[in-house]
Amino acid sequence: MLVLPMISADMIAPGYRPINIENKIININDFPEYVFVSIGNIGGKYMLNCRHNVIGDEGIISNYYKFCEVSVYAIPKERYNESIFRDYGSSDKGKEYTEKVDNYLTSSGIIKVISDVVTYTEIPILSSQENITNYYTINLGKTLDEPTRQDIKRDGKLYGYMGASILALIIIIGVIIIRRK
Amino acid sequence: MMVEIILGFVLTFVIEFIVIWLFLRKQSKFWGIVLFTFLINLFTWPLAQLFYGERFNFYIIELFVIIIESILIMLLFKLRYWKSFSISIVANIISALLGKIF
Repeated sequence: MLVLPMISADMIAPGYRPINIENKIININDFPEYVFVSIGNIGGKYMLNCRHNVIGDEGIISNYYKFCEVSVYAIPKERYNESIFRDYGSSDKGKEYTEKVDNYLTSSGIIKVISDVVTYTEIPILSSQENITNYYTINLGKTLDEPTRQDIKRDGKLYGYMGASILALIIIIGVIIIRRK
Repeated sequence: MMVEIILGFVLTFVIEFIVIWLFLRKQSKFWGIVLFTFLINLFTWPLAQLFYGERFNFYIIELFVIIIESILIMLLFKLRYWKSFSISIVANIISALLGKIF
């Protein structure tokens, strides 16, 4: 009985499919004095399956478990302390871990540069979308809550749908014109 | 994926054909109903999928489909607008409900 809701929470909604998402910070190299870290939480709780990741020079933000609410923080290099993120403690100390990470990330000098990073989404199964790339141009004075630019790669279904509709419309117009004569 | 597309289209077409046929069987020929229902669906179904795939609101898409199909039914079957609108509403509500269920 208790397991069922967990299983259903991980299932893909009927009629939907997951889509590949890539999130990229394009100007990460403009801030060499900072370490950029992505971290997720579920309902405000920091957990092992939303664990932190250091973002490399390519600026690619790792993908997370679907329910993680992901944010990116800029941490001054001299203040970066990897051990804070690694010390999960025992499972009954989840609250303690969350408080410790929360205190660290809200301490002075650490800046939240992106919030609500979407790393998992589902789209209707017949959608023409193939993958999404979100680009972020960060600014240390502002927290972005949506990408600066988004590229959506589509498959051939887009042309198939449009072609079928246009063809049908041409025939319909032809039929209407012929029947009026 | 191709199977889902064909199946989705064929199911919508069959449901809407049955509804239109029930309304118009006395005044239109069987193959005329088949052809016009096919053309109407071939125009609206792919467009609806395009917008639905872009995560537009399902109910707004359905409303547009009902309006467009009612105009096409009126023009192709030479009906009064309110009759074609009624047919379109019934056909699309049934196909949308079955689509949501399955």
